[in-house]
Order: sequence, then C-alpha cells, then structure tokens
Amino acid sequence: MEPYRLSLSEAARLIRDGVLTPTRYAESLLDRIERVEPTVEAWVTVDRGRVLEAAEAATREAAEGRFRSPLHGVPVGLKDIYYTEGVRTTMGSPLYAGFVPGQDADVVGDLKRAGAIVLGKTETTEFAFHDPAPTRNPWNTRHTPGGSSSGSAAAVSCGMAPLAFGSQTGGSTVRPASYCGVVGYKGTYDLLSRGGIYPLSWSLDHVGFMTRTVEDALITLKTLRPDLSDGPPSGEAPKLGLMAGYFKENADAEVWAGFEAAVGKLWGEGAQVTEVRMPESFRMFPDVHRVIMSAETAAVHEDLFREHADGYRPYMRGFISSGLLVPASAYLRAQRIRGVIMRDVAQAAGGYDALICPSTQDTAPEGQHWTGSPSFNAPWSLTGLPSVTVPSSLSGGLPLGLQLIGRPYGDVELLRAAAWCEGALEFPGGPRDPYTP
Amino acid sequence: MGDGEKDYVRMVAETARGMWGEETVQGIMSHIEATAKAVYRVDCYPLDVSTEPVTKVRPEAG
Repeated sequence: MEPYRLSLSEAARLIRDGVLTPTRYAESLLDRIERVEPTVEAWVTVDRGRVLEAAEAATREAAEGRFRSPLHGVPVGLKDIYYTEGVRTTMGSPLYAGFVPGQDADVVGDLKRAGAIVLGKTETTEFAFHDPAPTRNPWNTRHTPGGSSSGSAAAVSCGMAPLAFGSQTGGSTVRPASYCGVVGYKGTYDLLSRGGIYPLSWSLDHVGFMTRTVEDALITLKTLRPDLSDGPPSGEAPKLGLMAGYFKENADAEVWAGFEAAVGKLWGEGAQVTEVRMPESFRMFPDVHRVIMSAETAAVHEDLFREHADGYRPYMRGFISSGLLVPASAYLRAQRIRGVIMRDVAQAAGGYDALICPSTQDTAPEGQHWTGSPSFNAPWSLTGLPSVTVPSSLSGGLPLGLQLIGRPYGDVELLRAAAWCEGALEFPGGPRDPYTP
Repeated sequence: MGDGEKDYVRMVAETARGMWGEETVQGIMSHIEATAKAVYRVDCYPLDVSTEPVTKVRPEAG
C-alpha cells in the first residue's frame, strides 16, 4: 500500500516498528500532492526540500531508537494563519502576501518538538472569515470544501496529509471537515493555545484539526495535551442527548433524514439516545455571536483597515465596517448573555456523554462563491464547548456528518464517544480521489 | 421587524453614511443592517442581574 493511504495511527505504528521511515512517508505524501493538487488547490506553500530535510532528521532519530512522540515523523498541514518561522504566512490576504513570521505559533512549536513535520501551509478564506479560497471539494470538485479551513479539510480528505490544522470562530473546522467527509475536532476554548495564530475574534477563536479517524484525533490531542485524563474506559455505548428543535427546523430535509438514519444505527448498536430540550436562551446565539464577532473582528483589523480598506475583499470590508458601529454596551451585553447561554446549555448537557445534532445544515453547496453556513457549529464556538464531526453517510454523493458536543474540558471523553459512534456508523474511510462529474 | 428595530437600523445607517458617505454605505448596507438588528435584539434581551453569571451581581451579597 502507498504510505499516503495510511491513517495517522497506522503510519505512526509502522514508523515505530521500523517498517516505514519518515522520509518514505513524506515522499509518498509529496508525490500525492503533486498528483492531486492541480485539481484540488488545497495548498498555499509546500517546500519539498524543507519537508524532506525535516523527514530525514526524523528518520535518523528513529534509526537511533529515538521517538519523540506518537507524531514522530508524521507530516502535518497548517492553515495559513498559523505563524511558521521562516515560512510565508499569508492569512489568505494580499495584504500579507510577503509576510514571513520570525517565530512559530505555540501549537506549531509543540508539533515540531513532538517530532511532527510541517508539510506545508493550507488555503484559508481571507483572514479565516468568509471570502473563499480556491480549494475544491474532493468528493465533487464543483462544490465548495467549506471554510474557512478549506485547504486543511480537502488535503486530509484526499490523502495529501494525515493531519491538518485549522481554526474555528463560527464553524470553520467542523463544517469543512463534514463537507469533505473527514473527522474534524475543535477543543474546549483555549485548551490548545491560540498563540501565534492570526486572530479573527479572540473570544470565539479555537484551534481545530482534521484527521481521517477519531483515533488519529485522539492521538493528536493526547500528544499536544498529555496532561489530559483518559476518561472512562472506551468501548461502552454512550449516552447521547439528541438536539432537535432549532437543528431540525433549519436542516435541509436530506440532512435531517440522514441524521435520523445515523441515530437509528447508533441506537441499534446500543447507544442510549434521548431528546434534549434546548434552553430558552439558546435562541439568542446567532445575534450574540454576530455582535461579539463583528466587534472583535473590527477591533483586530481597525488599524490595518484604516490604511488599507481597499486591500480587503468586499464581504470582509462590510463586516468590519458593521463591527465598528457596535456600541461598547451592546458588546458587553452580548458577552453577558453568552454567559447565560453557556450556563443553560451546560445544564441541558448534564448527564450525557455528548449532545448530538447534524454537523451542517446542508451538504457542501455547489460553486465556489461561498463556503456554506456555520449555523450548526457557531453555538459551540460561542459556548466554548468541545465539538467533533464524524462522517456518517452520503447524500447525493456528498458526505454528511454527525456532530457531537461535549462538556467543558471533557475533550477526551467526547472523542471516546465519537470513536464509538464512528465504529457504529461504518462510513467508508480512506483517501478520496478527486471526482469531477 | 418592529418599529423600534427599524428605527435603530435607520439610525445606524445614518451614522454610517456620516462616517463613510452614501456610495460606500450602499455597498455594505446588508452587513450594517444585519449587525444593527443583532445589536437591537441583544439590547432587548432581558438579563436578570440576580442570576446572570458574568457580572455575578447577587442581591443577597449586598
């Protein structure tokens, strides 16, 4: 089997056993990128020489029996808002076209110390917001891969990387992961450091990453946060709280039908599934999220925007302008209501291993003019609760995802519940060859 | 949209025109309206200071 086809955990095992060298693994992924990238356009920067140099160093260490972590020798994609020392970081904006950071983002430093190899920088929407990247969805290249972590999702989906990092302020990790049929996880707020990642809205921004299996996500999380407890024993059927209400009302018919079918499978395999009534305050999340995000985004960009408004694309320009008009009292009131929503949702989630709902309201929209709605993910960016999408089935040839939401800092338990669901749903894994109808 | 919300959106749009001019505001009016509506609804949402967790005001603590 070509190494690029391996999941992260399979590759890590083979590297540890001396069957696969990091150099051979990196070469296979670089060759895959060369073949697939012209169709998918997931990468901003891939420096073959730099990748192979790092892979050879990891190979030498492995030959000496030195393994830094389970990610030793594993190549990783990074959304192009993660600062990378000596490697161009564009934020998806012409305003940063030539920007080369002098240091790594905290997570990037942690990955390097763990022996991971920076494979390259992946495409993002402009400043991780709305205006699309050129990336196409490997399941159907006429459709968006979602955003804003567009390149990371597409790269993992078609086997160009076993692991790629994104970010999430609304739905920028879980949505593209779902649209591209991979696992996408964003942690409890600030569980993974945002240091050195270009902000969009600091109190909503989360680190997220994509893999092809939940086990791969768990390995990554445990490598970056070895202090996290293991949680309950794996393998037990989870107790799940099904959220209908808002999600049922706003999901496309085929998405809700797919979700119900997935729930039927989980129930059939022994999961306890009961419906959860969402609290009254939950209805406020879209307005609260918008007020906070527009004000913070305006604050992040205010100085640059004053000098270079024409350097921004139209949607971003309008959003920043609207945020400049938000009164301070409204921003603070939104933060207070956010506190109410967080408290109420945490109470509703009590007693469950995870809450569940569809990962997106639709399948990946056709065209490249927008990246889809974050409306099913934004509540978890607002509340800071950990969330993960697991591919569940196909509708019209495009993936659907099951979204699981956990308790604050219950990230490991959440991923264990997700792993159980992944086993029950039996979505066909493996890298996807890009398909153009 | 109620009268209060309409009035608030109108006021914000006027402020925007004063800051950036009519032509610029025409191009971004959908954003200004959407954010102004959200601000209005946030302002109208009742907060119970005795229970809301951010300010942590507790009458009995006084």
